[in-house]
Amino acid sequence: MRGKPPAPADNGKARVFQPAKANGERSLSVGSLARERCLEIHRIMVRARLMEERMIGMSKSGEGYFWIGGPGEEAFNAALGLQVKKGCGPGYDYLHLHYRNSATMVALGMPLVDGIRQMNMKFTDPHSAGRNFPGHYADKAWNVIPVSSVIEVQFAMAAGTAHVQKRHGGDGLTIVVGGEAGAAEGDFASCMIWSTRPGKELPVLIIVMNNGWGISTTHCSQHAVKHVIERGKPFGIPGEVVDGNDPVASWFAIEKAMKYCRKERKPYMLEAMVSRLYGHSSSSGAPRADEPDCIGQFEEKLLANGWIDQETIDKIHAEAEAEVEAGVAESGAEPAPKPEDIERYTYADSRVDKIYPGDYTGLPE
Amino acid sequence: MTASRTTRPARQSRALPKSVAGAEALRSPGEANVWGFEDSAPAKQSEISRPVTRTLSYVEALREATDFEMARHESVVVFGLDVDDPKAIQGTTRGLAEKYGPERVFGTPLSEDAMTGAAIGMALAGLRPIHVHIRMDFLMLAMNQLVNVAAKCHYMYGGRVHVPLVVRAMIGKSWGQGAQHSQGLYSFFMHVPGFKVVAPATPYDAKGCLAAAVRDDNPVLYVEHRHLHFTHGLVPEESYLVRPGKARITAHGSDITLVGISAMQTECLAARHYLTTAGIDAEVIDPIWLSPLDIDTIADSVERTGRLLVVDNGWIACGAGSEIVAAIAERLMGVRDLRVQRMGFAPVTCPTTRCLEDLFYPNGRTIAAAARDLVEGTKTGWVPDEEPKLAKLEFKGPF
Repeated sequence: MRGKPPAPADNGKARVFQPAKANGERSLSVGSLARERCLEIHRIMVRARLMEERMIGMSKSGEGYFWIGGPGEEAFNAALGLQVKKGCGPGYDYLHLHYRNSATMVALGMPLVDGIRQMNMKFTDPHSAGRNFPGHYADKAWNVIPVSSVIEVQFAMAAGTAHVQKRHGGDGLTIVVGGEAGAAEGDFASCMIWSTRPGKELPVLIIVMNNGWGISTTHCSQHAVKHVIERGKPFGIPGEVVDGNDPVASWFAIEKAMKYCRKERKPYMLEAMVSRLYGHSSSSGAPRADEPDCIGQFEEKLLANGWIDQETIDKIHAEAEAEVEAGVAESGAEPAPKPEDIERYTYADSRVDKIYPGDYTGLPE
Repeated sequence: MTASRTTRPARQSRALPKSVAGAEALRSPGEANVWGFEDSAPAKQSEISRPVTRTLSYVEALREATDFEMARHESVVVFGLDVDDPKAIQGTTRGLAEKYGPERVFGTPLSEDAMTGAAIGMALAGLRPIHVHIRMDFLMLAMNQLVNVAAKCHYMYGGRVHVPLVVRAMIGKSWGQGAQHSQGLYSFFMHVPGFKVVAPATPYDAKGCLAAAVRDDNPVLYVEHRHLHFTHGLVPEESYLVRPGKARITAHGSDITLVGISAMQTECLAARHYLTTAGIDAEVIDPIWLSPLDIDTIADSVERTGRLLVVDNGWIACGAGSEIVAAIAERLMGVRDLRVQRMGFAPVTCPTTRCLEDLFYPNGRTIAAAARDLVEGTKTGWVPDEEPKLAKLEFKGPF
């Protein structure tokens, strides 16, 4: 599918929406980030994209049921995942992701087969044991807090993990990601309020992925402020709008934001202007949208810079495709959840008189 | 008949982890004596070795349990609007901020949804938050976090995450508290798999249930009725647990089974006293935990008495009382003849005017009247005269 977006399914009658360009966004050449890093990001973007596109196919073929995900957000999300302080417990970064963060998980090190297992609803799915939608990740070892289909709840939960980190000490921060449409929920305001309580500020990196859409409603038709980060100003939360289709610009914006949060132990806002390449979800048909494609753009820059050739690009795509197909085959042969397990996990098997033996408590002993 | 037998739910043993087996033997050491009734539950004190002589209020028992759990592990934190206020949530958090510091005991911005979300975040990061809501009515603002996140995380993520959260919610803020301060909406949470719901009615249970709730790996809604806050009862000095999912027979009898939820437990005990003057011997049961619900104990009782009156501290429709009556009907259909009835709030919005509000809540006399009619199978028109010692209580007036 790369570079060849199919014709709009509705004969071009769809409203074409171009995301607003960042104000004063820094237009960076790929040369400002090391070649190896750029190629690493590129490979992650391609792998995440091909996984998602295969999952869209699965949702249409009946191999899966419902798809929602993040094609169009790979540039920013890959740059984010690579800069996370990855680990378990409050000394590391907590990730409150939304359901378009596959590239972040791939950057953290998630094998593609794990994302496909969730799409396949297999018991082997390490995130939800075949009980949740694709893109709904949870990983205790990497502090990935369960992703919610109900949008924006993570912005209130972020105050909780950041509170633990503030108490714990160290430089771990809480990263919370949501869309610009979700920022209309009260939880977004709550996150700003909780993270800026005088003397009790919290190390929260608030990330708004602005794709210009809330399902089928445009941002500009509902919001008087052009950029969500403007709402942080009264709270004294610094912020930046970045071209989220540009992985290099995203890399440096994330680097700067994380540096601030880690050092100051206060919140910071990033708003990434991104594309939404396959609509909201399979419920809206997941047709390819006529919006800028971060992968094609990045490849043009890498080629122009002489850092990669077309043959290598094709090889990377072929390898990713092979990895995805192997994942589909592997997970397809794995067991589904058993019917007798229907009630399993409704309640935790509490050890009532103990506190998390053998488990981390979130606090130093 | 055959069909009803085959579809009748099997008697379930509410198996709990072995680690609470010791607590299973625990029974209230005769707290019903506080109400002047001699035949209260027998005291079996397998872990509490010496006779319990100390009397505490519900509030003091709740505070002590919180203190013990906070001392037991630093992951326990208490927060919510006003927890560090001088009034200290009726005294339930008194002294805790001074003892454990502002990182573990703190007030919050006034947003129930945000407080709850933050509590879930803390729980997912390894803390065991006790989140205090001064009124259950306001908890409605947090339903999204509670129902869509807290109750579902464990299941939705294949058992890989836990939300060990205690939500304290006060109900029964009457008198004169009106429509939006007086509701008992705990049945909403009984409806949702993944939640545990407890509504202790005595100081003994207030302490033991809070400890059990804090140590539970699931979200637990802890329902406390304002009228109970300043009641007194025997409370052991040790730390102990009241087993989740186990009801208690608070008074034995043979003619009718009265099930009283939360503050209606005390009204049922009062009704039992009134009924003795009419020659009726009522058994009284306190479910204590509404989810998991101990239907076995209630069914055993109703199998003996043949009559069941459930008195709820909320509206009848789709309420906790309705659930209990339905479960008993399913269990005992075809086993023995039954008469069942539900009582609860009048099916109206709670008015503030005293003369109307008195008609809103069941009380010992109206419960006794309904129970006698049920036993005799006819409208007798009997309502006992009020006995001052059974009329309320130690209530301190509106908040």
